[in-house]
Amino acid sequence: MEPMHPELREALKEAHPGLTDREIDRYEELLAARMRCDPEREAARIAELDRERRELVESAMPRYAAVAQAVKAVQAARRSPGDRPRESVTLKKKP
Amino acid sequence: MATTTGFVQRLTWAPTKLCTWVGPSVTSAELFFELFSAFDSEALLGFKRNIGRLLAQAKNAGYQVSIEHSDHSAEIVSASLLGFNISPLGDAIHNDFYSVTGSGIPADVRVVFDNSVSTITVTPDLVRPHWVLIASLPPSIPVGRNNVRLEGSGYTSDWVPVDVSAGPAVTVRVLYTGQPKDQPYNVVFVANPAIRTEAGTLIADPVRTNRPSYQDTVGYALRNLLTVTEDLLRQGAWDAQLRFVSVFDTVPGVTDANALAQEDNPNIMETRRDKLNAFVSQYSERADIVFVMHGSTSHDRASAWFTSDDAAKAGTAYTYDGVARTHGHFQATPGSAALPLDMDRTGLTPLHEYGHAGSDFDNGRVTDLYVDGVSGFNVNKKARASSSNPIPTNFATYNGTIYASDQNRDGLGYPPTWTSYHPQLVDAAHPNLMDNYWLAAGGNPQVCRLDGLTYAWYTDRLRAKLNR
Repeated sequence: MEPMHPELREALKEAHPGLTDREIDRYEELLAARMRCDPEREAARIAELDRERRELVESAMPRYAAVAQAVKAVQAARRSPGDRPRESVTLKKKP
Repeated sequence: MATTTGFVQRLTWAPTKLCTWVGPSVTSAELFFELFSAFDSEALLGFKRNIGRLLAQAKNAGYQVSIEHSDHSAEIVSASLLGFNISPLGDAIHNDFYSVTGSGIPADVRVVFDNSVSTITVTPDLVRPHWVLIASLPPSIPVGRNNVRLEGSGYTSDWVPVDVSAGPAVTVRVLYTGQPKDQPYNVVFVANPAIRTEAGTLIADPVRTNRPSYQDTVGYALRNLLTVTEDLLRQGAWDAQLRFVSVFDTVPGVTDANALAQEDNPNIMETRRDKLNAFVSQYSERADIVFVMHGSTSHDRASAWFTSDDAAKAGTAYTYDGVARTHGHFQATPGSAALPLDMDRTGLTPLHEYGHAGSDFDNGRVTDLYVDGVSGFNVNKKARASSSNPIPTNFATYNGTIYASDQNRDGLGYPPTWTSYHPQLVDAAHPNLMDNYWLAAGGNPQVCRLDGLTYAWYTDRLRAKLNR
């Protein structure tokens, strides 16, 4: 699972006054634990972890999705387009 | 016996004779012939006809031939194609992937297309010593016959004639063939047809209407897998043995079987791993790893599922802390990762997710190091009974070799409440590839590497699969 960007962590705390690093870490642990489960053999465990994680989001960081989108947008705008010259065309002179 | 080489400038083939003019140009070509006699045996006639077919194909493709004839006669004794030191892979189609393979290709190589009116020089999206990939062949290359070659520092390949077409782009594109064997280690990129939403409904995946971005992202993912500082997949030129394939098909409908990605609240996308074997088998592919490329912008945190090795098939035994385990040679369910088109390309997301996906649910999971939890058998993480206990000097014994623990967790440090700890890093100056690489000192995640134990374990696992 892609690690949480530190800017998202800070933005989450800013958007949710009172939100602690410990709660964010708990969210991340629940998510990581879920992804360690085999979906075919441990569906019940995944459902349990998802329920706990959903409750944590709803109670402690209800604006998670919107904040994540906003952080991503800011990061994307900050990055240079990165487009490099991909090709050069040289026309041949007619003899 | 004499040998003449050159292009087949003209060819005429009548029932009793074949005439061909071979040389650098029409005006300077030499005439050669082949006679078909009623007294020739069937075997000899077949041989002569094959020479005719070879010459016809060489003329059509623009390949040079070598004609063997006696010193005093123009009668053809044998003919062969001259080889090239590079090999274009698949059709050259505007706006589609284009690969060229070879050997000793330098990192600064350019792909040059030459035709009667222009020369187009293209900067490839991926360069490896054996492989050059252009994620999207520029439409500025004229349709029709071109010659292509590679040019780089101290390196110039042969010219190879190719026929460029305007389209359509192909559905299944082999980007690199890998080992010439029945089942090379196979990495498949799939443009996801449909997404299963959080609510359980099925929607079309936007990736299928954005082929340019898909191809560009696949190019990025390949660079990330094969060219960043961590050399796991390219050590010993191993990546020349890996097969890479792209599947971009707009035909499959928005059905449950074709929904290869699942939204997960609040912003995660995961693969539906149980659908993958059936989906890619429609394209005659059997994948070890499937990267499900999707176009969601609301659920764009990447995730991965480990492989499930096929325990009923062969494997290579190993021991970890004295316990006998197996590197399975084949998968029952492929490892997989869901990668969004809008990935932050300054990071290591494709390689990090591969780190999970290439490991195995039962015989060794390579897990995230940026959280504390530990359960089951993980190659790269253990837990102490209490966070106040010291981190053990030795982390684990793998195949008889003792690997030390990472006492410091590089510059990140273990939070005081954590019980988990990791193996010693290959490069202690930067976080582990499987840790939070966004926190890399200097702001460049792409220098992060694995720890020594996981590297050794993965090397053996890949070797076991490559040698299957």
